[in-house]
This record gives sequence, structure tokens and C-alpha cells, in this order.
Amino acid sequence: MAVNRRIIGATTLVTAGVFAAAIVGQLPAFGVADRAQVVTPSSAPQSLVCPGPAVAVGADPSDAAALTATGAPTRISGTVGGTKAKGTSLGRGEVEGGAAPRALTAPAATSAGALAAAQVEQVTAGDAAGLVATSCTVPQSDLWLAAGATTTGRTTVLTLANPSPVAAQVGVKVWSENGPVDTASFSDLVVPAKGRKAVSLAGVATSAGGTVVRVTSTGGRVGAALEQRTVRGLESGGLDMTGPTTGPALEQVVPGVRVAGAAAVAAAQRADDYADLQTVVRVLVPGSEATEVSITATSDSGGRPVTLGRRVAGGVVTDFPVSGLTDGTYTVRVAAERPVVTGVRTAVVGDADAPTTPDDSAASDGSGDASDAGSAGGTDAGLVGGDGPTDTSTDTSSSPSGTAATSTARGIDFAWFAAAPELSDTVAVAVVDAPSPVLTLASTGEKRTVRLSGATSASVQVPAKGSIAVPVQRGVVVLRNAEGIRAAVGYAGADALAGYPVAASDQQAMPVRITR
Amino acid sequence: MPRSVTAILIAADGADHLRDTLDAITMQTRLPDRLVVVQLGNSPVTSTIIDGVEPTVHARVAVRAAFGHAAETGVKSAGIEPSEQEWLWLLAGDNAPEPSALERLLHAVEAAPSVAVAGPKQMQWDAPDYLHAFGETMTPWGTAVEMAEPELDQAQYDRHSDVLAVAAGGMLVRSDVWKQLGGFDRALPAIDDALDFCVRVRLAGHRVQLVPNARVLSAGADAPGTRLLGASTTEARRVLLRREAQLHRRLVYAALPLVPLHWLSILPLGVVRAVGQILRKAPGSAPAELLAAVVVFGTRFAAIARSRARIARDRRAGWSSIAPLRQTWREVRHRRALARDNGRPANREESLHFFTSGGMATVLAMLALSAVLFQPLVGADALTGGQLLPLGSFDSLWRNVGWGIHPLGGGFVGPADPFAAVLAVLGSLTFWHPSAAVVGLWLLALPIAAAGGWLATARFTRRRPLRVVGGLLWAAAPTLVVALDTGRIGGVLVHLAAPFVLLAAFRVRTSWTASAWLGLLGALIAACSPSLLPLLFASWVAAVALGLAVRRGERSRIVRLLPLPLPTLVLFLPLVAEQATHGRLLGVLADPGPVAAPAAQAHLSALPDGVATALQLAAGWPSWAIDAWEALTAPLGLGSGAAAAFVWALGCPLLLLALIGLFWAKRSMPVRVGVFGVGGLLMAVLATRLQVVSDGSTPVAAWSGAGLSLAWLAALEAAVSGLDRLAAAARLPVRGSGHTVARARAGGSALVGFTAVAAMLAAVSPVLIGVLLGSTDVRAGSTATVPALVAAEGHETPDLGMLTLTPQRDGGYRSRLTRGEGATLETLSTLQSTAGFGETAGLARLSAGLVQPTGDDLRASLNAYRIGYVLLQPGSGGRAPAALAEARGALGANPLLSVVSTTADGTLYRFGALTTTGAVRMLQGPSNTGSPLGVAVLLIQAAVFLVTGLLALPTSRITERFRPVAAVRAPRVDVRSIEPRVEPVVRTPEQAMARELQAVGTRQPEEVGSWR
Repeated sequence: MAVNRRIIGATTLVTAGVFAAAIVGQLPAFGVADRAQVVTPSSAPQSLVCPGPAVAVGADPSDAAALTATGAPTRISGTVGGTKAKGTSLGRGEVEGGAAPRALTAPAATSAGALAAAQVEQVTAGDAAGLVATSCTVPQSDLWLAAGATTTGRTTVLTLANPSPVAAQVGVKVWSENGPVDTASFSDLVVPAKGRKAVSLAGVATSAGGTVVRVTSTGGRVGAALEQRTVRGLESGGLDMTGPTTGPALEQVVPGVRVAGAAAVAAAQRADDYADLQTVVRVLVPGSEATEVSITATSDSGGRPVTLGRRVAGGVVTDFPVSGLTDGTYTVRVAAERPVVTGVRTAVVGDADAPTTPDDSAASDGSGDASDAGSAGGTDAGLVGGDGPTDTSTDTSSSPSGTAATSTARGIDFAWFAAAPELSDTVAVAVVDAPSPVLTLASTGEKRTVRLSGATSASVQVPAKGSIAVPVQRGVVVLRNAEGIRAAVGYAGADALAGYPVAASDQQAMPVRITR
Repeated sequence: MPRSVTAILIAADGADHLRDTLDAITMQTRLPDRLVVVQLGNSPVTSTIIDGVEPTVHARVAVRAAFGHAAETGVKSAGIEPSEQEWLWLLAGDNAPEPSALERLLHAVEAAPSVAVAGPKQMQWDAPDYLHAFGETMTPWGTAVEMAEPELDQAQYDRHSDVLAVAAGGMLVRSDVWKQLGGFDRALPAIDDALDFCVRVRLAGHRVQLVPNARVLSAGADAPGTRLLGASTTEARRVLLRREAQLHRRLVYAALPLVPLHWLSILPLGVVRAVGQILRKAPGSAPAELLAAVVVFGTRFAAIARSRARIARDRRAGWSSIAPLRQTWREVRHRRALARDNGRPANREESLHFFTSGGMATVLAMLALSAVLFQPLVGADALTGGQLLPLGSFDSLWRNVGWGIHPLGGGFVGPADPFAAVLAVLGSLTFWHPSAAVVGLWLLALPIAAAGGWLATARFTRRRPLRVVGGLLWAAAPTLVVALDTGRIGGVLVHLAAPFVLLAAFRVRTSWTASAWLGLLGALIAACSPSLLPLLFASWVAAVALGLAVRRGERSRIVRLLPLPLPTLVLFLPLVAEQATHGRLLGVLADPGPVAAPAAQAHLSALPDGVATALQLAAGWPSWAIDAWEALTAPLGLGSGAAAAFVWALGCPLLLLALIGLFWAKRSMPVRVGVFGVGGLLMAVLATRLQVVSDGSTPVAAWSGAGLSLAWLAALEAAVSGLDRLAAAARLPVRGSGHTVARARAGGSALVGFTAVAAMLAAVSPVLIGVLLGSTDVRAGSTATVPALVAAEGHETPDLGMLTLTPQRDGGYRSRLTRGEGATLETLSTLQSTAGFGETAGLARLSAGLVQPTGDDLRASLNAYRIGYVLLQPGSGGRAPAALAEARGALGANPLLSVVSTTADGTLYRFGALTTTGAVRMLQGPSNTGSPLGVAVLLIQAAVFLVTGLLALPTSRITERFRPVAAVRAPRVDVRSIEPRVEPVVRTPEQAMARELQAVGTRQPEEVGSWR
């Protein structure tokens, strides 16, 4: 009897234990409490760094490695709130001559509104001539540049400017069409505080048909720009200075790609050594794995998009030629299975007889802008404010004009267009004094109405997953309701081509989750 | 001239005794001339009984009246004229006299005219052949002493005649003396009233005489007595009354110059006597001692003055006249020796033969093994890694208990974790270097576990090999091994304490020592692993409820269960209150110590999460020791899932044996312990669901090993019982016979046992050798847990802060602030880890400002928090790398900071503009002794633990020596002890256990032996 009771007890115990454990095991986790504090510190003063004038390698015949500059770029800067940016010159570093790079600061975005600036330089001196328009960028500790080549006649100079009071230890990694380049000598470049450093990529990547550069810095954050000069024999092939493109991502959008003189380019590129006039999309998959890449170039004025699909090996810089583009403004979209880095190059071949464009546009627009700033309220009702006085400062001397030296027989120029980041709601865009400035707005999602004010007032409907080009005036343009839009400014003349993306950051402090 | 006798019967509501007593009075050979019955209260039943005998006077007094007052009322209401011929015969309701009692008393007083008081022999009501009391006296120090032991009356005390005092019941007293002395002293309402009266009679020049052949009965402690002292009076109340009376008499009898000295000594003596009561395992009497001291110390001035005045008025003879009647010291010592011998339990604790039957050998073997396996830890400064941090200084250990400032984060004032108290005690063992205690704990864990396992198993089997098996398996429990591996002090302590909890639980109903130990061990377990609190509470409630239900009417058994949660309660109450006011009561259950997310766990292949966890826990593993096993099985090409299944399979033989033990049990004990074990398993599963803390953004579950230790204990004992049954079935050892069947059975069961033990040992061995191979989390380290540079500076300036930022999976950051040489275990608080105490918004904002460019004044913030260094650790997974890059960029670009070093542990930045003067303002606050609340918390905790600790001391010898009161007063016990009791022969522990668990009809004498 007692034994039976014990067995019943044991059975009950074991069964109850198994069931209870099984049931309790299915319980959801409890007691979880999110103890994170989401904190937003006050924003730092805004800071931009302008890379300074174009730098030439070996312009001095006595020293083939010497870096020299002659020009002084013209800058446009301003904020959404109309505050004036404060500029300071940085050290010139090892570059002889020319203007110094400038650091711009403005109070934190919350009080002043986002700061934007860009610089332009019409290079005429030296062996190469062309239009150089670059945006001044937020100093960063990790940035990508998709441009450049170091084959014969092509020189590529990386300019690093450090506006911070702390020296920056910069590591530079370079990829070429042959894969990653050994950049041991570039692994620990020191950019002094408030200084500049310029290095020629030829030092590490010789005869690279295409380069992609990654700059990482510890210590001070830096601004970087990659400047490419092309000289074919005695003929100038143009030059361009391009700022950072967006970091590796599955989707890259390069708006505002200007194609001009397509017929002339097509004709010219048939000649030997002129193949790099071809419009190309440069793609790098930073890892070692290959991936499928699909490229779509859509004209901003409508028309059938040009589509390419290709498999790209990992770690190898690949230039996809895109042919069949007529003159116009294009938005190039790159989608891939793995994160990619992208840049787009186009070229223009001018007509030697045609008058040079910059002069006339600069003359007319410059005065127009100045008056515009004063009477902004009248031009666009309800969109007062936001557009303040623009800082069209010019360094030392005004851009030297009329000292054309070489071989601009045909007036060839090219430009690298970088991928643009998504914008926040309200941003400022600096439009410099260069031929036919066009602002391209591209959407990756819903259609959106973006309002422009400042130097140009308009209300622009950006189609869903489409893009639209808006001619703009020199000065600071303020975009509102631009959340998620990607934008770029492109310039094109008969023998001039340039462009830069609109930077996303208004440099506001981000909310941060702090846990224990 | 004929003497006239007035019998004065003081009758309380006690019908049984009263009726017999009245009958006995009416049957006297010499009837009293008058019968005055003084009724306490006015119960109609009692009135009817009284009126049935038609007394001369039937007086009534208040039900609360004292005996002396009632007697006085009787004298007055009878209207007696005091004279030498008038005698009063005082009787209580239970003092039924023998028929010739009064006659013989009168004979005695007739023969000796100087006798003013005569007392009969008091016999026991239930056993009239046995003495209850026969004369009283005092020791030289004034303690009241019975002259006769409650023994069989063989006329052994009849030679006494002149005595100091006689009992009140049956006292024959001359009425003029009564009148002259004013009767009993009202300041002595219940005890020593007759003694005091007789002393005064003596001092007035009269004699007090015993009359051996006159007998009255007395019901002793069962007498209805009065409301002040009767059958329902508790033991504690008796102690109170006795001590009050004694102190009163001391102050009254002492010479006037000595009175202040005596008065001053009352309180200290009260404390000493209270401790004595605790040591003799009568904790209920301790407050009575203190209360008596306070009452007499503070409120008796008038009464003492009155009593002294009365003695001075009536005194005819000197105090020296009564000196010969006091008990001599020699006699006192003799009596105490006799009492000791009588009080000593006849059947002493039977030895488990720990030293001779393999227990010690097992422990020594484990010690040797431990010395080899943990050799790298020998001589270490401190242990670090896993959940371990060094301990701070002795001073710091004790500063972090109780309630006070915690210099964590931005600092906060609140209660300490109960675990801090455990650490304080542990660290104090090596007070010159507290961290060494942890090293010692690690080195001694295996031998202590083996000893505990052996002792617990000895309760379940008398087979020596099985006891050794129990010791081995307890030391090789996966919980202990994993706890040692991952550095959980709490887990190790719970595991070491568990078998002793079982041992104490067996004894708790009969021993205060066991009860105190159980209370202390319960507090230890709760403090080490608060997630077991629900189980502990439920077990206590169940034990009390079962005790109430099964043993109705036996309060004394529950009494020892009731205070069990007290130590735990006083430890946890401040924390519970603090958490409750912040609405985070679950936070109480959080594991103390550092919070670190466990490494990713392997799974039994393709099972759902909950099932896999339950299976893993059921096999006794708080976390799979997969790393260790994978390394071993890698050449075989097994995946981690297969390795887990393999480890699980190794535990199966033991599980099978446990089932045998449960289902084929000879006794119900394995099943009973099994209930507790299943409870432990449930708590373990529940612990994996309880995620009240998080490491950064990763929620961390509670340690499930504590519950598993309890489950493992039940499984182990069930398995041992199963093996015991198998061995019994095989008739091991085979004696001389060559029966192959028996041999096969014996071999079979031995094989099963060996297989189970070997499999389990094999399963844990890769983890055990981990320390030797250096693959465990725990390793020998230094007492500093911050980078050497910071430690060097922090050694000089203990307030120096280091902020550690770790990028998290969700893109946020974990921010931890340590000071000096780094966090030490005792400074941590679950209030911080569960409720965010000390995590000020300022600190979070500072962290947020460090990881991105900001306009905040970081210089001021860093100085305010006294942060001299910032350590940026690498994070992994999700958006952590991006966050790391972001933070590295911001910290590098910050002109306030400069990089000091970059190691695998992270990048260290120095804040150069730190102003190092002055104390950190936000860390100032009341220490644990700096505020009234803090002092109160400490005092209450100290008091409870002091009392419990004293109770827990195994003090059999001391107790026997210092029994303040003769132990043989209660006649019932002694009467029965004289009758031969059939005692089962006790040979084995389980028989002893079974005997204990029987419902024994008598109240068992308090066990004062070792708590084991």
C-alpha cells in the first residue's frame, strides 16, 4: 500500500516536473526593461573644409615630384538661416603657391541652419586646363573617393585638409583595376592640425587606369578631394577635383551627371589615348566577393533609361562604359547585391572656335545674385528667410583669366560625379559661378514637392523613383521638404564640365542610445 | 485554648481541580473552622461548584488579582480577629490536601510555639507518589531554589524541618503574624511571594517549618493558578516573572549602600542573561530577560522602597539569622551537577564516522585534485574574468553593507545588495587581503563540496562506497564546475551550502541550532542568488502549512520554522522597499555582481529554444560546457550540436538511477526531497526567462545554476537511493557463497554505479581542466581591472574615473564609469543594474557628447565626474562597427583627449585638463553609518544575525554548564522519563531520521548538540 502510494507520488512528481518545466520553458522572457537613455547632446559648431586650389605635380621642371598650385578658387557659402560663415585659412602644407585651403565654421545648425559651401576654379595655367567645381565637405574620419587614374598623362593628387586643432593620422587605401593596391607608405600620413597634405597617387598606384580611394583618419577629421589631370601629348585633357562619394551601400545614386557635346566626344574618343573621354560608371565592391551590379542611367528630361547589368569581381575597380547618352542631365543609379562604391565620369570636347563660357555667365549671374539676396522676400511669397547673404569671397587675386598657356585647341574637359547621400528636410546648396548650373533632384521613393528659395525660388515636383533637373542661379539655394531626396549640382559649358553632390549633413548632433 | 483554623481557598476558573480540592477539604480529619473561598472572577460554573460546599464566606475578587491579594481579601472578608490562636490555611485551587493534612500541620505547630508558618509536602497531582515541592531556600546570591527534586517520595527529604521558606499552597500561618507582616508583598504578584513572606517571617523572629507527613497536591505548571501565573502562562512569561521577582528581592534584601551597585548591574546582567538564554537554545526567553531588567531598572523604585521600609519596620532578627538556612555554594554546585546529568540526553548523537568510513579520504582526495587542477590560481593576487572582480579593502567591504552612499556612476544613496554582506564576511576571513579569500574559496570549493555531498548522502545510505559516490558527484556537479569556470561566487556558495541546508532541514523541527543554521544558510543562498527567493519563500510557507496541518496542536514544532526567514528578511527588506518604491520589484531577483552577456550557446540540434533549454537544464548544465567539449571532439568532426547531445547523453545513466531511486524507493524521503528538486529545476528554467538586467543593449538572463544545484541535490540523493536499492537487491557484499546469480547481480549493480559516476566525471572533466589549460574565463589576475596606466594613477587618486564606452549591436553605446583601480565586487549594486540608479542624465549626455562632435562643454562634464580616462572598447555585431568608427573619429578629433595606448582591449584616451583637487561632489553622501536610517538598518541586521549566530553555535557543553534555572522543575517530563521507554535501537542515520520524523507524543527535550 505504502509502496503504491510512493510510486504514485514519484509518478506525480516526475510528470508534474516535466510538464511544469516544459510550460515554464515556453514562457516569454519577462522583466526586460529598456534602461537605455536616448540622449542628444547640443550640436557642435558646423564646420566645412574647402580643399583649395588645384594642385599640379611636377609643374616645376626641376622637381618632378614637387606639388605646386597657382590658382585661387572662388567660394560661395551660406546657411539656411542666413548666418554668415566664418572662414580661416589652413596651412598650405607641402604645396607651393596658390591659395590655402579654407575652413568654414558657423554656429550649430539648430540656431543658424545648415551650412553649405562650394568652390570653383577655372584652371588655365599649366599643362591642363578646365573647370574645377567642388563642394566644401564636412570633415570626416572615414570617406571614399571614386575617381582618378595614373596612366601616362594622368596624374591624380589626393588633397587632405584638416581643419581641427588635432593632427590627423590618415590611412589611405587604394583600389585599382588590378585589385587592392599595396599602400604601405600611405598607411600613416599625418595631416597637421589646421593644415593640408597633398599626395600623388602615382606614388603607390602606378599606371592605374582607375582608382578608388578610402581615407580613414584617427585624431582630427579631414576633408579630402581627389584631383585628376589629364594631358594627352601636348593637348590638355582637362582636370577635375572631386569630393567624397557615399560609402559602400547596396544602392548608389549619382544625380546631376552632365553630358554635353556627346557627338564631339564620340568622334574624339576614337583616337588613340582618347578612350577615357567615354562616359563611364566606376564601381568597386570593397570585399573580395563578386556581385551582380545593375546600372541605370535616366535622363532628367525623360526618355528611355539606359540599363546595364554585369557581374563585378570583388576588390577590383571596374569602369562600365555607358554609351548612347545624348546631351542632357542624367541620374545614374547603381544597385548591387553587396555594398558598392560608385562614381561617374563624363567628358566634353569643346569647339575651338566657340567663345569660352565662364566669363559671360559669371558676369551676369554675379550681380544678379547680389541683388537677389536683398529682395528675396519679393520673389517667392511665403518663402522668406532661409536665404541669407552669401559669402562670395575671393582669395588674394581674382581668378586669372586670359593667361591660357597650352593647347586648348579643342577645349577638352571632364568631370567626376560622386554619389549623393539622402538629404534631411532642409538643406542649403551652394551654387558657384560656373556655366549653366543645374540642380538635379532624385527620388528613390515617393514623389515629393521640394521648395527652393534663396538664389532660385521654385517649387519642384520630384517624381517617384525619378529625377528632375532645375536650372539655378549662382548663390545659396535652400531646399525644403527634401527629406530622402538626393541632389547634385552640375555645370556644363562648351569646354567645361563639373559637378558635385549636395551634402546631407546639417551637422546636428544625433540622438545616441546610452546603456549600461 | 483551642486553635481555630480558617481555610482560605483561592479558586480560579479551573473546575477539574477545584472540585477535588473542595471535596478533599471537606474530608479532612480535622475540619477547618471556617472555609473562606475567594473566587477570582465570577464564572457561574465555578460559583456553582463553590456554593455546593456551602463555604462560610464566598468572596470574589477581580479575575486579574494576585494570589497574595486574594488571600488578603479572604482574611478580611472572614472577619478574623488576629491572635496567636487563629491560624490561616492558604490553599490554591489545585492544592487538594490529604485527609490528615490539616491535623498534622496543627500537630506540628502545637509542638513548637515559635513556629509561625508551617508548610506541607506538595505532591504531584498526576502522580501523588512523587514530590512536587518541599520547602524553598535561596542561594547565597538570592536565587530562589526548590529544596526537593521532583522525585519519587521515599522520605528522602523528610529530615528537613526548619527551612527558609515553604510554598504558598498549603501554608498554615498564624493570623497575627500575617496581619503584622501585611501578608504577601504586592510587588511579588506571582513568584517568590511565599519565599519573600517566609523570609520576612524569619526576620520577624519566627520560625518556618516543614511538616513531612502532611501532604497536599499541586498541579505544578498545569495548575489554574491565577491569571498572572497559571496553566496558560508561556515559558517566556514565567521567565519574565521569575527574573522580575528575583531582581526585586535582590534590591530589597541588599544592604542600602549596595543597592545602587545592584541597580546599575541590572541592565548589563540582563544582556548577559539574554545571551545565555540564546545559547541554551531558549530564544523565546531572551526578550523576557531583557524586559525584566528594563522593568525593574526603570519602574520599581516605589515598590522597592515600600518593601524595604516594611522589612525595616518588622525586622526583629538580623540577616545573619537566616544565613544558615540558605543553600551553600557547595550544595548549589552539587545540585547543578546532578541537574546536568539528568538533563543530558540519554542517547547522544550517533556518529556518521566521517573520518573512518571514507568521508575524510574523499575530501583529501578532492583537495589534492583541486590543488592540481587549480594550480595556476595558487598564490594569485586575485581572480578576475567572467563574473569575477577583485574584492576591495577590508574597510571598503564593510562600508558597502547596509544603507548609504554608493559611488557608482553619478552616485546614489540607497541600500546595499545583500550579497555585499556575504562578500564582507567572506573577505573578512582574509582581512589583510580580502581577494585572497576568493582564491581560497576556489581552491577549497571541490573539497568542501565533497564533504557536503558525503554528509548529505550519509543521510540516505549507510553504504560507504555510495557515500563516497555522493561526495564525488556533488563535487563534480556541472553547476559547480561551470560556476567555477565562469567565476560566479554566488553560484559556488549556493552549491556548497545546499547539502548543509538539507542536513539542517532534517533537524529543524527539534533543534533551535538547526533552525538557526537553516535561517543563516537560507539568507546566504538568497543573497547569492536572489532568483531563488520565490522557491525559498514557497518552501517555508509549505513547511509551516504542513506543520500546522499535520501536527495540529504541537505549536513547538512550528515555532522553530517561523523565524527561518528573519535573516533573509532583514537583509532584503531595505532593497525590496527601495525597488518597490521605484516600481521595479522584480529587480530584487537580479543576480548581484557584474553583468556580462554570456557567450552564444550551442543548441541541441534543431530543437525549439524553450525545449532545448529545458533539456539542457534537466541534464544539470546551467550552460553547456561546449567550448571545452568542442575542442576535444573537433578531430572527430562533430558539430557543436552533436557535442551537446553527447554531453547530455553522459548524464543519462545518473538520471536513470535517480528515477530508480524515486520509483523503487524504500522510503518516501527521495520523493520528498524530489519535490524540492523539481522546485529547483523550475526556478532554473524560470531564471532563463528572467531578464531584469542587460549588458548594454543585450538582455541578460539570471543565473540558472542556483536552482540547478538544488535540483542536482535531489537527483543525486535519488540516484544514491536507487543505487542503494540495487546494491541491496544484489545482496552486496556476497559472503562466501559462490552463487553466480548473486555475483552477476552484484557485478551488474556495481557496473551501473560505476558507469553513472564515470560518465558524469567524464562530462565535466574538460571544464575542470580548463583552468589548467587556461581556457576558462576565470584566471589569476591582479586587484586592478583597468589598464595598468590608469591603475597606477588610480592607486594614488582613488576618485579618478575611467569611462568605458562599448559600441552596441543597435548602434548605441554601453557606458560604464569605474573609479580608482577599477570596479570591485562589493561596490556593485543591483539597483544600478536593474533600476538605473546612479545613471544620471548628465553622464549619459557626456557619453553621447564624446562619441560625436558636440557643442557641449565636455571639459566641465569630465571634470565634474572626475573622469581622467576614456576607454573605447571594440564591439561586435550589427551596427557596432559603424558606431565604433564614429566614436573613434569623435574621440580622436576631440582636442581635450589624447590617445594613450591602443590594445586589444580598446583605445585609451587621456583627458589632460583634469583638475585633481578636492573630492568629487556628487559622490559625497552619508556612509552606511552616517545617517539614522543607515545606522538603524545596520543595527537591526547586526542584531538579527548576532542572535541567529549565537543560536547556531553548537553549544552543548556551555549550555549544560550554565543552566540558570534547575532543569528538573517540570514534573511531567521527569515522571515519564522514569518509566522505561521502549527506544528503537538506532544504528543507521536513516533510522535516526525516521525516528525523528515520527510523531512522538511527548514534547522532545531541546537538542543542544551539534546541529548536524
